[in-house]
Amino acid sequence: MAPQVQQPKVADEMAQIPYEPFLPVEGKLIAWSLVLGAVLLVLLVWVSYTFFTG
Amino acid sequence: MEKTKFIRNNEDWWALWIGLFVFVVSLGTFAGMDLLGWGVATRVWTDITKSMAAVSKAYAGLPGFLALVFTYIFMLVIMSVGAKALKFNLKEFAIGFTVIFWVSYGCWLIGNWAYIAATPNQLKAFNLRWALGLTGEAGFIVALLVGLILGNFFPGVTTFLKEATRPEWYIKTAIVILGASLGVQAAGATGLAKAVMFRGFAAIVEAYLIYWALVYLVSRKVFKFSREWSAPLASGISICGVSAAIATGAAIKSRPVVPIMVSSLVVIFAVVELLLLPFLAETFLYHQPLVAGAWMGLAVKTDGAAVASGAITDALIRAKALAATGVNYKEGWVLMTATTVKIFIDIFIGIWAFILALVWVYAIEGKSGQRVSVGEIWERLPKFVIGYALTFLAMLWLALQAPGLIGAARLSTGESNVFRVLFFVMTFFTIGLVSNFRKLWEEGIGKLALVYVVCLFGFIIWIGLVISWIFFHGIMPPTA
Repeated sequence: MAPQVQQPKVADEMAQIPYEPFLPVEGKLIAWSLVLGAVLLVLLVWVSYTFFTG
Repeated sequence: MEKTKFIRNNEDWWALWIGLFVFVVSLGTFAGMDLLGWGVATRVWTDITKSMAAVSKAYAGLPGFLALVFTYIFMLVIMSVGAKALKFNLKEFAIGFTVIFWVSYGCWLIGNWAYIAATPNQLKAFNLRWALGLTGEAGFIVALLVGLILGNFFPGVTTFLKEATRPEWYIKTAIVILGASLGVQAAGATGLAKAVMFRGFAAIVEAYLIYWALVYLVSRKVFKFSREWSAPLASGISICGVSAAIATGAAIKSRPVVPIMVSSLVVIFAVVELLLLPFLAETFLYHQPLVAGAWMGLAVKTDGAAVASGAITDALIRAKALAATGVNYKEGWVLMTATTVKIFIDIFIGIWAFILALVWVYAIEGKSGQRVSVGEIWERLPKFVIGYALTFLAMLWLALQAPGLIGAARLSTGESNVFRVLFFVMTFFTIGLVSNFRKLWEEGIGKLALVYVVCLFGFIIWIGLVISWIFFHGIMPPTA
């Protein structure tokens, strides 16, 4: 008989999540993503309504 | 050699091969050969004996039930070839597929009952005083509900059907076939098709950049999840569910258990969205059908649920617009918009995973000795996307180059559509089967589910709606 593989439990996994301080590089990743999103929004809206009017 | 092994053992590739096979066989109409005309077409019915018939007039003498049996045998054979190559247990797959096919078709038939499906303009033809007016696509909802009941209350049935319960494989095969129909449609309105494609691309660029960053921020700052959990959670909740969570998990080298646990929630909440959002769109967006289509693609997670919700929304909105305003929109444009958005999301998963791998290796973990290969973008590209692009562009090119052949093109896609629709119904049924809501009661899931609920219903759905509105309002589908 094959050995039973123990499935990890959600509760155990949640309990084991370590505290990790929020690094400046994570803040930068989020800020860059949102700023790029805002800049591209203006650009993409302009391109859409100028060249792809349907 | 490793590559060959990879190709043979991937559902993505087999969705591509099977979808392309159906597409190529359907092209027989261009040479005057009606090779798939025996496929079953289901009509809205009050007399069940008249509910099914062969899809092509060339097979008008074929009894409807026999057309259904031929359709079943054909689908069983082509899927079994894939199942064999994928090293599934062929016997279990064939039995499971058979049950799933017939139950799904039964649901589709119920959905096409005139009291459920007939729209107001059809009432007279069916001699009815009332009907729910949900169109035949109500069969999708019936299939989903039956799947949910079996999946949640009869776990033995789910286990019995496990080998053939493959919603992602069915929907990916359907999407490859769908490309051809949308190509023919696009040929009739190339300007509109280009607009849908560019704006769909623009919408997902925005969604990636805004969604991911916000979910990651909430997960890290508010819920105090670690980076290993936050990144797959952000991708799973915000982008494309299961595949994005897995790709992100691999990119940041998280333990396999993380994306697996995230994915189990993705599927459950995708079903909730699938049951809610199309009806919300029908109520509030029937005057902006393509906004609704893009919204389904942006907000509903997983390929299956997103494209499926696009199909339901397409039917619901056309029926509502016809009843409320008298405008009869052409079928398929809402679905096309939802599918286009979803396909772009899928294409970008690889690129996003690559970017995250770069950030994690060089900025967060600071492992200067490690290298991230650009080849990972190709590795993570869902291959069925290639099939969708091929069938779409091939049919668009054919229809534009030889307008005289548009009749043959319509016949071809009409016949392949028989199989596309049945793969859709089977997707709905099997999504229901795999959506185990009891998971929500599992000890410890609360925090994970809470971050999902807060992000999904708190802002993702609504930001998706705003982005869809910005890029698609005022863009109208052609009228029939």
